[in-house]
Amino acid sequence: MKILKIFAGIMFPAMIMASCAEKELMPGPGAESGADPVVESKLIFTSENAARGSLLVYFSAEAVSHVENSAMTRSDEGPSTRSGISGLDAVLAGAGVTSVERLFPVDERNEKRTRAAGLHRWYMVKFDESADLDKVARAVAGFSEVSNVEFCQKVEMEGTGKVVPFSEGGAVTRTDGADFNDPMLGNQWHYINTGDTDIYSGIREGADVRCEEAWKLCTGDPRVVVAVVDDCVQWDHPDLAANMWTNSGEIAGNGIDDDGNGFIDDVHGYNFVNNTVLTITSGDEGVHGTHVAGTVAAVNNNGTGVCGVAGGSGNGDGVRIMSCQIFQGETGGSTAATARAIKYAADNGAAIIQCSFGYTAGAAGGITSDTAFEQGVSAEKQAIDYFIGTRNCDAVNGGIVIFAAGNDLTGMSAYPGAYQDYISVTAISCDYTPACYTNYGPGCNIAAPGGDQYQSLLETNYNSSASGVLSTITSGRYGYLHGTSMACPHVSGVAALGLSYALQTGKTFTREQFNSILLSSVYGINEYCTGSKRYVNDFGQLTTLTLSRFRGLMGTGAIDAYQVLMNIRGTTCIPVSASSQSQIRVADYIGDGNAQISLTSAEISAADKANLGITSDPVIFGDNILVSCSKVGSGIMTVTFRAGTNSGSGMFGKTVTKEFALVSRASHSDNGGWL
Amino acid sequence: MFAVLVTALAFSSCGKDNPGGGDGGWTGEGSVTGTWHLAGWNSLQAADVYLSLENDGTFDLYQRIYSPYYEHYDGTWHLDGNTLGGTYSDGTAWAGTYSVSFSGDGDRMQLVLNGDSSDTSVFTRSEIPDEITSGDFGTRTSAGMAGGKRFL
Repeated sequence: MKILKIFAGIMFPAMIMASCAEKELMPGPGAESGADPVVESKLIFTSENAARGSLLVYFSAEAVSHVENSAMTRSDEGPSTRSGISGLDAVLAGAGVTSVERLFPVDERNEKRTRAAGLHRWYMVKFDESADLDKVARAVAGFSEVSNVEFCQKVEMEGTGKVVPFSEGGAVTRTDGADFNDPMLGNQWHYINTGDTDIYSGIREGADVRCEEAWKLCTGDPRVVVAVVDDCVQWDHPDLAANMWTNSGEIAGNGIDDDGNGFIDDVHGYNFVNNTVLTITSGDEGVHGTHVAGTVAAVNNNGTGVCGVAGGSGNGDGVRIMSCQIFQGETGGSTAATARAIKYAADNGAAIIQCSFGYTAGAAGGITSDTAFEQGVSAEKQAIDYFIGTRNCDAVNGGIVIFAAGNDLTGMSAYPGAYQDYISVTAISCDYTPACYTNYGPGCNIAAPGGDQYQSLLETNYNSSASGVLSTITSGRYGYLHGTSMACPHVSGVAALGLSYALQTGKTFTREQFNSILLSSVYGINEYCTGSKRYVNDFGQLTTLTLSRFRGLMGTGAIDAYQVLMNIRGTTCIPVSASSQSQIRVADYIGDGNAQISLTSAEISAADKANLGITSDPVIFGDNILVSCSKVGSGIMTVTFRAGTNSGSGMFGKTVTKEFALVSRASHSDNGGWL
Repeated sequence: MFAVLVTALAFSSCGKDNPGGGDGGWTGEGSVTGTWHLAGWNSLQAADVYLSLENDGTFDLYQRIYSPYYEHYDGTWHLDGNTLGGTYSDGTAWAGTYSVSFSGDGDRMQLVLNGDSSDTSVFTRSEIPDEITSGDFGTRTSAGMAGGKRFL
């Protein structure tokens, strides 16, 4: 069973950008382009699984002004059908063009930086679906005014787990110590796991995200906005409505773009599938997005339903959810919709994008390296880069990007999450074991509870899904799902909680520092990667899964919200001798001491070396750092390590840099006490 | 091995320097009892230490140094002249003995470890925040938490 919504698109790495020595092809959608390397180098993705009748065209910086002038000077009503480049317009006319419009609508408030990022050069060209997509793409790419042509991947859900509604009267007796009055919190083992065997006989206390301790310090902050890039969030769900982001500049239902951001009636978000207001029509539409949103910020302490990781204390102080709809039922999820949704998140205040989707990990012809992902120069990646470069929270200088690792039980993360700039989340069960569907290995950065419904299903004759993740679903209901899609919003929620706490304590971080805090605030799970567990595979067969395959490959460990908050408070120190060489096992000072990391470097500035009486650089020796101080004093040691594993072929894990304060004294107490 | 060596070196340096009270500005009188907050130790910014020295000879130490969490230690202390020493409740001795001196108003206390003026902790009188003594900033120890330490 796969819960993650998968881009089934198959991608080939585009080659390096062409030089200016280009040859214009004869226009016409039927033209044979051959295999002109310049033309081929401009193509991003392939026509396989791409939507018919549309292409994304990235004009050159010089040419885009012609395109803009053409749009401005036309006199007819309706969408523009011309680029202003005569030969290209002939090609498009031959393909039955219906529109040539900017991919990212003009938002006057953000147009300057949109142009600085080059995003104004992306156009969506729509034409007759019967036209030969490959031929049109190659003909368009043949023009020197065109820098790239991207096939608009036709996105499909590879599979979604069937939601299991929460049954009335199913709330277990709460034994947690949280102050909240939400009746179903006792069923949310993924926040506070008390080891309740009514959920699953093999459950283990503590396999959660450590909300009980974290909520004593912080429960959220409405200044933090999380964009749920998914299907539609039920914005009026009783347990979500109070925490929905609201666009104060927009008047609902008047059909006018009141705030001039390029989108009409975008009150709680927008539907980028059909370019309309948020849409839930029927069936399971919106279940996935609503479930994800509830994990991030269902309203806490409101006497209703469930809790969310950063859902506040019941006083209107939860983080805010922005719904960026890129799926609708079985449709949507195109690269165009995704790119527009992510740019919208950046332009409208989101600090985190929560992305439980991706391309199928390890699919034939798919992306298996960062280089391949970068070479695409896709609209999607450019939009994410734009989001990363946008500061929407005073506590961090850029956007935080969090993806699910994927549900393919494959030894690598799905892209885009696998990319080194983004966080990719694997899933664990209520007993700390890797979930039966989770991807693992290169590209995976951190784990979180995603649940494993088979644990409870198999021992209750399929009567209980209690070992899944419980959250909000559509029609104002609650239900269980499992997947890395469910693990991912736990990390997004913890990240939102961390930003909230940083705001409340006056701390500020670079994006890299904040990501490092997330990835190093973990508890180890390797000790649970042993033995086996049962599950039902995609073919309905009862199967045994050997857990040793996951050892060391689930990321640094499982995220710990409480550690995140405490690491936001300040730097951790390491005691060293002022008179002899010290051997530091850095892992002892990261997470609970059992994090999965690979040291890559350790540096101390010249000034701090002087403070510590160090005459030579620190040396990495296996899992240890050797440092020789000769003076009483303190100084900062910057340690770089890899969070996740290296594939050896272009997947690198995420490079994490963490600072420690070395405390050099002639004498330390044996038990770590200061005196 | 490390601890033994460090301890030996520490003892070897005993009495090498003038105890702290003679340093400029540290000539006042005061009482060590009360609650204190570490205001400075060299250039260290990252440490947060609260110390409560009780009249009955017991102490509580709350520190956030070598862990993201606040850790709680307790034990007994004694003062001989201006030399402060003590033992943790787990039987571990303090890192050494401290020469005690005070600022003129008695609200700042300087502790010099083993007579080495380069290892000087400056404390100011301060209440210990409730969220620290309550354990809200402490670690959790549970069956499921590998490597959990004692402390709060």
